[in-house]
Amino acid sequence: MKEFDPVREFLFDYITVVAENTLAIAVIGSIFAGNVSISFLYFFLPFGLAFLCMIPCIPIYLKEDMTIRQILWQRGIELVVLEITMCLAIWLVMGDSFPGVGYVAILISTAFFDVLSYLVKWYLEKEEADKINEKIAEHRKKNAKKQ
Amino acid sequence: MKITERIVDNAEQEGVILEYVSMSRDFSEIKEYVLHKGETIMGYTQKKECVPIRIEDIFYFEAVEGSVFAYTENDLYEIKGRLYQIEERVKWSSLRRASKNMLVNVEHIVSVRTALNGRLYAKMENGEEILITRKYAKEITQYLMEEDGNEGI
Repeated sequence: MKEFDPVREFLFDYITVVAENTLAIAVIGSIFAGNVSISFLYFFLPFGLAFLCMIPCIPIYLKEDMTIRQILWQRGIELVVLEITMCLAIWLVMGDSFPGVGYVAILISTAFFDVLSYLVKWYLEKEEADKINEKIAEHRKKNAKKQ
Repeated sequence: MKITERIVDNAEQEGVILEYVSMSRDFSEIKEYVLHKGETIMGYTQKKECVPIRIEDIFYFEAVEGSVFAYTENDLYEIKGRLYQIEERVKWSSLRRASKNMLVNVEHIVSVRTALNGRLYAKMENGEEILITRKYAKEITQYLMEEDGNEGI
């Protein structure tokens, strides 16, 4: 199991959220509002948005003894903040030219990729735990034989 | 694996000789067993009786509001002293830090499951689950994943 480095984990999650934001803004934006011209400065928008969304998650990286339920709540809050800021940012940038169905697409895509990134992490940790369990079972079997 | 037995004249000469190609986990366990077999720590039962507890029977130590408790399969004992003092006093390699307020005897862990964020829940032989925080998860994992060595005993 890798050593848990809060800074590294925070940066990893931050980059994941930036990627989610970029995907939502670039792909969904080009589908639903491809003809709207915006300043190149909006390239940096996902970085700012992601940082805002990471703020409610900071306790996860600092507190050691949170229960799984508390972590899931914290992640849920992060997702809600992410959804709100994304829609708000799109509305501020595009205004009324962005259709309602585009907002729905953004909500779905953001939720999908956010949940997917945590599922991948959970799966990797579960794999690691399964390997340890195999080793424990092997060791206990060997000890039982000795006795 | 051969065993050589020899009768000696007095108790001072008593001992165990280990002959090995390399110090595998098996040999390391035998060495620890010989060195610490029967080692006890004094604890207080819930009726305040002072009794010796065999270290190998302890599943984990937990510090709760300034007091330290030792948990065996079915019993709970209060131990005098701080957790770090117990950690220094009890030199069992299978006794590892699980969190800032817990020491776990890794040999009594039956299985583990992820507790998210690099942490683990360890299920003990008596069915209880304890949390291994991310700071100590790596060390405990390394201990559990250690190779047993090729020499079967």
